[in-house]
Amino acid sequence: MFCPTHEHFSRRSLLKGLFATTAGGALMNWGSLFASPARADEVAKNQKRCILLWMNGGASQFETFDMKVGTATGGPFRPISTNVPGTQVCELLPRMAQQMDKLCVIRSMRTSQIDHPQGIHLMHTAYSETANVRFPEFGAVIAKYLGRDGAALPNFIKIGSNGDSGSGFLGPRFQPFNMGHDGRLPTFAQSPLNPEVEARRNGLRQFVEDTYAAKHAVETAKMHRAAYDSARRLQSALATFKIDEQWQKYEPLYGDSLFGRNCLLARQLVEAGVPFVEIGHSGYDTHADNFTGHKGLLAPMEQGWAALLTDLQERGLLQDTLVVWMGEIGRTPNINNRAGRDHYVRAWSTALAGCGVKGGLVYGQTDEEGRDVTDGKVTEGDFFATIYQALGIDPLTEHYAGSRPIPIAPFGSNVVQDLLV
Amino acid sequence: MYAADKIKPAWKLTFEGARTTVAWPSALTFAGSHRRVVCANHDGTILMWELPESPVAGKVLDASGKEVDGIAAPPPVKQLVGHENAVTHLACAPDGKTLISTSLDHTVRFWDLEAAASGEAEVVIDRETRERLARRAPEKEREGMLSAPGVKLATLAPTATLSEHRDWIQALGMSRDGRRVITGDDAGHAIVWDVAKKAKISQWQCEGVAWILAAALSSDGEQALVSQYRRKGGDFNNYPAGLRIYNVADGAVKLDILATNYPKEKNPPYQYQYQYYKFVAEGLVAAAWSRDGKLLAIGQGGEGGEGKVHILAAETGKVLRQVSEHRYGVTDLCFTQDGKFLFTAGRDTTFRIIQVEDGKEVAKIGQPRGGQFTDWLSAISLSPDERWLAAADISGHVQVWQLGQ
Repeated sequence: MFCPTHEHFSRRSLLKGLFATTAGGALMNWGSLFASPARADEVAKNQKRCILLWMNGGASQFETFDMKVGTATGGPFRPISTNVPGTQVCELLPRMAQQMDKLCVIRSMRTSQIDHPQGIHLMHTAYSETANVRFPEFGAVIAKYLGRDGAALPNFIKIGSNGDSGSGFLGPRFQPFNMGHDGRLPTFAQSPLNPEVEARRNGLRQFVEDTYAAKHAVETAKMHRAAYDSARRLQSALATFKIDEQWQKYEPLYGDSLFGRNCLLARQLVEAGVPFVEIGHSGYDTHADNFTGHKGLLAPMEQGWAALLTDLQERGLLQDTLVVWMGEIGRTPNINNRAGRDHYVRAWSTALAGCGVKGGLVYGQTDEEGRDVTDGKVTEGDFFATIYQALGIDPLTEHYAGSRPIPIAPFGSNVVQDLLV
Repeated sequence: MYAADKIKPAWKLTFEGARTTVAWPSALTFAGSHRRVVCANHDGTILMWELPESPVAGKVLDASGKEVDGIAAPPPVKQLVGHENAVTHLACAPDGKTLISTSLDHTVRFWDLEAAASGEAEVVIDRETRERLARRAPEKEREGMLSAPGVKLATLAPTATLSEHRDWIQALGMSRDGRRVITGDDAGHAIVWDVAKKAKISQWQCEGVAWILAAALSSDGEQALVSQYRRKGGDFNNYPAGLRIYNVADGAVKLDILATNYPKEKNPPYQYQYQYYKFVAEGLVAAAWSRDGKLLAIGQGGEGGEGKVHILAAETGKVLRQVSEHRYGVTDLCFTQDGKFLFTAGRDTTFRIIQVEDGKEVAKIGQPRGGQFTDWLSAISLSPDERWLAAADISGHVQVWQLGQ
């Protein structure tokens, strides 16, 4: 019988699906390495980790952290005071204004990719896209250096995925585990089989794999087995992804929004030992109606963000958790005839908080109308070098794509020491 | 009856932003007759013009700065000083002198247009033109062009500044007799005011946490149509929106129009969301109530929808017809006094006249301008005798049209 190729469940797609479920390695259960669960908890608690709050589309620096009130580029919002004397932010960030002492704002970003796909790649990998090298996202790098082999939970989780560079040349072991923007697990993460049937089926799979591996010592067979094992381990940790019971308690803090829920989920995941979680928040590409757009978007976002910082601090996790707030681009000083702002990368803002960075700091400066950086220029390379340094990862660390050495922060990048404690 | 071929441009009043690039005209109204126009912008500046009885031939500057034959536009005569942020709406009572303004500065201000001047001011109303011409001029002339004196105006102070709102005020509606106005803010708070007393009659908190984008009062001022919407991304289900008629006396909901037209329980989720979005688009931003009390008109704003205006039966809330299609959204609308015609304006730089009875478009005036995305007409006003129409053009002008009825 003729059966067209596209109807086959190809080995490649099988592997891709399975590896996407986990970044696990060879060890079956990291927790079991420790005789005492309390010891494991302590190690997990002291592990450095990172939460990325990704403002997809590019949030406006003028409507957040670099206001230019009363100038030609200002817009209708007004500044408010923060809990750091002398520092003001946009009135759209009232809760974050009270978290300013934890925040390290960079007002002097100067990056090199002005459109979305390229900017998303750049601000996830520190590199511009090339045809020859598949650069890994920094979540994958962090998963590699701060993740734990054999953990039941994935080491790199994306909620509401933005960007598709994944683990790049680091390989499938560090691929992200992608959840829906509503925090739902992917369908393949949960087995539809009852445990008895699943165990029988797994036994059969192991038998087939053992038989195959005995005759074919190939890497893909090992990868397949590792991925399948990781997916099975995940079954024991699915409860970590459930926040319905806690939500009733935490909703007033995090706010009645998906972003707020995802922030709570991220906190729960890093607390359980996941070293990198990305949360996406979309809609910031406000070429039209920039002001009402930001007014709508920033309210739930800043409540979730402020709650996350509060919650992490109250649990003693903030000092080891770096919270990164950024998008792929900033927005233009000029306001167009759609009441919008377009793409801009010559001078824009990002923010860091927590692990390894100073709180209550505003770094860098832009000119009167926010058109250019006048002090403390930070490139994408500098930004990522600083993030890695803050997390205790040497930014000069090199990987090899073929014979080519590729540092995790591009050659020539500088750690911005002024940002670090 | 209106006819497109009889509608002629009369004046093009200059009102270019003074401080910011977003300071375009945002609100306007005729005051008493077609000879008095009041227009406000995103800076919070409000200017008043006194126009001749009819257009007079004279000299005007063309785009290159040369004098050519045209209709000379008079300069403004008064500046209303007080607002500290964008003015969103203006409404004038039938007496022609009581003006109410709303703003993003959270205040409602009352003005007496015939009050004694509070002072004098010099206002540059053609800054963009000056900058454009200066760029082409010899260098030694540039500074002189940019720093040339502006227009000297008498200033007016508000007779009252009401600060009950705690957020942007984006909605204003006036009853037919001009005795009541409704204002609504982004916190979902609606207030009905007694214009003579400059005092609250009633107030209520609308359902949900959505902004009030448009409001209109019935002729007697006893009922209020309120449209709510809030932009937020990647969030639960639909963007929150509401379209309800409230009793002014107690703030009780008399009719939930969205629920009437799109009951959730009768539609599967996807179909419901589709229909709901088709109706609400990116917010219903302009509202009017016909003087006979029978019809409501509500226009879709934002770029995401089809820029339609829904005409509804006020008694039942049922959609009677959908008219007009302003590409990239409606910005303003108003009924004629007999309710037979509806004027709409939009982001496509046009205003349109719709025959309400059958939805026929009687006239479409204006040309899309500005490339793919056009300069908006941000607000319109119909003169009391319904023979003139003024349109606030974000390019920095007030267009006044003779409707030739």
